[in-house]
Amino acid sequence: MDELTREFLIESQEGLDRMERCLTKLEEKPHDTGLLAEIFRSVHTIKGTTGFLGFKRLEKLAHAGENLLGLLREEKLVADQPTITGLLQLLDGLRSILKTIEASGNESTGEDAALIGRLEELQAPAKSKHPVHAKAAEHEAPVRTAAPSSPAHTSLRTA
Amino acid sequence: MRALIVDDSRFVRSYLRGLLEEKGIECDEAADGQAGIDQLHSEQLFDLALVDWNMPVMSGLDMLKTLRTEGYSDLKVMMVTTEAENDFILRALDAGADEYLMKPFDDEALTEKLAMLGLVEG
Repeated sequence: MDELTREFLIESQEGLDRMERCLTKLEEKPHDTGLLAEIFRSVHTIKGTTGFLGFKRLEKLAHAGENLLGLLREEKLVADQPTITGLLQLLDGLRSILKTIEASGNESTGEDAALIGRLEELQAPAKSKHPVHAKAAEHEAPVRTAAPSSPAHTSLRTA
Repeated sequence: MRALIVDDSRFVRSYLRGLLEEKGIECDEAADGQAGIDQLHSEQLFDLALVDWNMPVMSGLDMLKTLRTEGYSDLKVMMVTTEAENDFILRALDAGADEYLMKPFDDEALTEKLAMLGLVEG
């Protein structure tokens, strides 16, 4: 295993340990935006770095988690018990893939569709026309615009 | 030439450092926007700052606004981020970014951006 992959594993595991501590506290303080921002950042960092190493399975799962956490962070959803349970399942899922990478150097072909489906289901109240948990209907989640087709080559320079 | 890498991910800092040092660019690192500003305040002179967006303590956008307000007008700033929406790119441009590099990127994409800034041969 090369040095960068090792660095990625250590950093990701540290991030997930932080996420676990924050999730425990979140059960007591479901509206704590500082905790939600910290959890979001842990998952966001994993998603951001997986792309460099080509760990597609991990990227897909982290992305689904990041979408849910984004809505929580923006207070479009409330961190109720089912949501916290879903986030704990996300934590387990991410840890399990990291363990596989640590043991074998690749992420193998596990199946995360059920977990990703659950994470998407939990986002539904913020996206429906009549939000159940969302703070206010008029603050609908903005639809994320698609990334440019070749974003890495987008230049700010006009000349 | 000297670059300041500002990112809360150790992995990304190491990755960028590896690519930049191969081009003969010396590197220093900071883990958040405030630490980045502190480095700029030190004796060391930098030609380029590569700045992540989402960081604790101070975001990359706030760091960019701060350093432009403080008058680091010769410093080239490249935002290096996963934020892909046009709105983010425009906000960075408004705040004084010189280039915008989307994560994940490879050596080719980084080199292209550095060439746009006239810092390496294209």
